[in-house]
Amino acid sequence: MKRTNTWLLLLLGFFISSCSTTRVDEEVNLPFELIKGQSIVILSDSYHTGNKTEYDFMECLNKNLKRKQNKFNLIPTNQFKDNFYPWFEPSTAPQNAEQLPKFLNKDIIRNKLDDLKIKYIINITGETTTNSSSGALSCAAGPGGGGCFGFAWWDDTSSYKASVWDLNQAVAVGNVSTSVTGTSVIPAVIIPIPILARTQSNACDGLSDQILAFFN
Amino acid sequence: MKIISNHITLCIILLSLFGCSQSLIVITNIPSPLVEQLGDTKVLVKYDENIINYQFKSTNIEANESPWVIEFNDSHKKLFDQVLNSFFSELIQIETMDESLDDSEYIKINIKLDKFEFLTPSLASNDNYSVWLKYTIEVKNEKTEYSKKWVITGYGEQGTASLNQNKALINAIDLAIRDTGANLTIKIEKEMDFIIGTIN
Repeated sequence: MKRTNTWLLLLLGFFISSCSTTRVDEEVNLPFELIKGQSIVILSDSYHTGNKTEYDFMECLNKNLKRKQNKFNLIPTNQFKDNFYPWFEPSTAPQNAEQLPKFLNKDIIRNKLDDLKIKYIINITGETTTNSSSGALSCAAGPGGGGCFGFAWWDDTSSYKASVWDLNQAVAVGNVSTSVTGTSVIPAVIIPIPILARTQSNACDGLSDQILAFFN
Repeated sequence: MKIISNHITLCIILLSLFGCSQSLIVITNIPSPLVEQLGDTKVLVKYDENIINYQFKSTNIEANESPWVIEFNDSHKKLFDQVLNSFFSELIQIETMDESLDDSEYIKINIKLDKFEFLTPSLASNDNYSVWLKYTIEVKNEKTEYSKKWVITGYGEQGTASLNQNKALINAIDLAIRDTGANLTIKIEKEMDFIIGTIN
């Protein structure tokens, strides 16, 4: 009996974890160096450019990068925006590395960056989208009880790119990207059992590992 | 017995009338802008009543939307105080635009909130709350005869993916208020030499 339960658990685990596919990519354009003690900040592209990187994805990335290394100092995104207000708000922040010189020419910004030892900005673009969905699920309740019956599924793609901007050279030194595709299903016989492909969370783990590998 | 039952009915009616409105309180913390202070110029500022204490009540909404009540309190005033204090040596709040100072260099500013508008995901048929703010700012320096009306706007957008609707709308309002501060900072930097008279 115990053995059957273990098999069931393994089978369930296999279904839950086997629902997603991850694709990673890395590109280095220029030589660069990160010295221990220097600081990095993560920003996301503005919604003014149509970018929709989620608030919780940025929080996850900040949390992962802080937890997984002690080589560099990670300045939290919101703290950085407050320190440099109003130069990194959605309508004022540089949208690509070509716009960096305009900011770095301001002495007050340059000096603050030097004070905080900020060497790199990692600029994130991308989002999680639902590509297709199908199936039907219906639930009903009555005096004798209730329940659901049916089967529904949907495909999610979480695709994110991190561009690394060197603030000393005012150029993009490279970029890494992660794309995770997964199918989530909800079979329901009386009780619905959601088996979710955690594409956004997998993309967050994947992208943070890639950023760390990029600097090692 | 009849009186008690009437009271209960009245309470139910009142709850159904007022209990469904969505109330929000805006508390936006604006950081001090990273700008260089411009000399010894003082600023006399007159805030319109809706800058000092503004409450928004939605009207004319869709049938499936509950009315919104949004308390801004002094969030607008804090924003302008913060931005103006970072540029000028002293900020003095005045009641009318006729007030003046006998000594030193000063400019006068009159600030009004013209519009606050927002779209909910159900109205816009997308996943975002979008917020617009529009202000008219009258800037005068009697000494340099500088007198202009600026229209300063702010825009904020927040997706609802991982946030509840109140939190998403509050975030969108915070972003719009911060955006106003950013646009005002850029405008002051651009016009400052003309305002204080280094360029005529």
